[in-house]
Amino acid sequence: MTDISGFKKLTFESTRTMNCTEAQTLMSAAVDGELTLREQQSFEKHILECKSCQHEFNEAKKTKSIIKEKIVRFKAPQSLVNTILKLSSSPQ
Amino acid sequence: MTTSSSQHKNTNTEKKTVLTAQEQQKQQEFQEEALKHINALYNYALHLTMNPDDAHDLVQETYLKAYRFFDSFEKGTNCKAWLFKILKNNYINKFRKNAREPGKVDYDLIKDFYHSIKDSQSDSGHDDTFFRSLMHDEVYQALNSLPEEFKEVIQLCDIEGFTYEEIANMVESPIGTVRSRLYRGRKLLRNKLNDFAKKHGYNTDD
Repeated sequence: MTDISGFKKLTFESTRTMNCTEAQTLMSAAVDGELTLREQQSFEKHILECKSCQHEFNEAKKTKSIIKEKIVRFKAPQSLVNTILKLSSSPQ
Repeated sequence: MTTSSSQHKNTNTEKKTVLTAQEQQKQQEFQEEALKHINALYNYALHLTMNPDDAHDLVQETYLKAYRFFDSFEKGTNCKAWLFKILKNNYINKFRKNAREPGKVDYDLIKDFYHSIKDSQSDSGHDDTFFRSLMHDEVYQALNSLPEEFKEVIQLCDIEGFTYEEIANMVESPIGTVRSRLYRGRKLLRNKLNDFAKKHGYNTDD
């Protein structure tokens, strides 16, 4: 399928099995829930059949969860909060 | 003449009252919409500047600018993404102009800063594999060692929870680029974490 610019569009038929390169293109979006329904179906079909992509997908999910869990979040200093409250309370 | 002067005075007073009410509404809306994101902005500023004082200044300047231009904020859209974009632009103008590259600025200071709060970190208490036992320092170090374009999208996606569309807008690149940077960035990060695991004697091969 080509769009008006002549580039091949990345669309996947749920009936067709995608190859590993196509699956890798969609890997991060699959981890982040950013795939369309059709892409999702096609991707899932591929990783059920391809152990290598399945492994990579699981590793990518694990990496994301490590980042989410392990990076410490700090509270902004109270002095900063007070300064901003003050500046947004005075006429500009 | 007296009547006219009095009318003029009344109009001025009314105008002043209206402006004050508008100003008050703006203040209230700004504080409700924007202030709740201060911790996220401060953390992002810390990652960018690697220096608590610079992060403090950067966030303060971001809010000052955001308040000044709050009228241009489109209500109903993501205020956090709007603030992050302002912060990023401020950072580029302020630090890149002065050629003060992140990572070269008081790295020891930020390291001490992170160390000082490390103990307050809650342990997730999941399974006992190496990855679950990784400390904040190691993950932070691994993330920080990535090239800037990979680190940035991982921070915005995995830590801040922005959508691809919002990230694409912030980094001024197409969504396809965001996808591919996340894919490659996570792969690089995983390799670095595997290196830590091997260093600690864990077998990471499934």
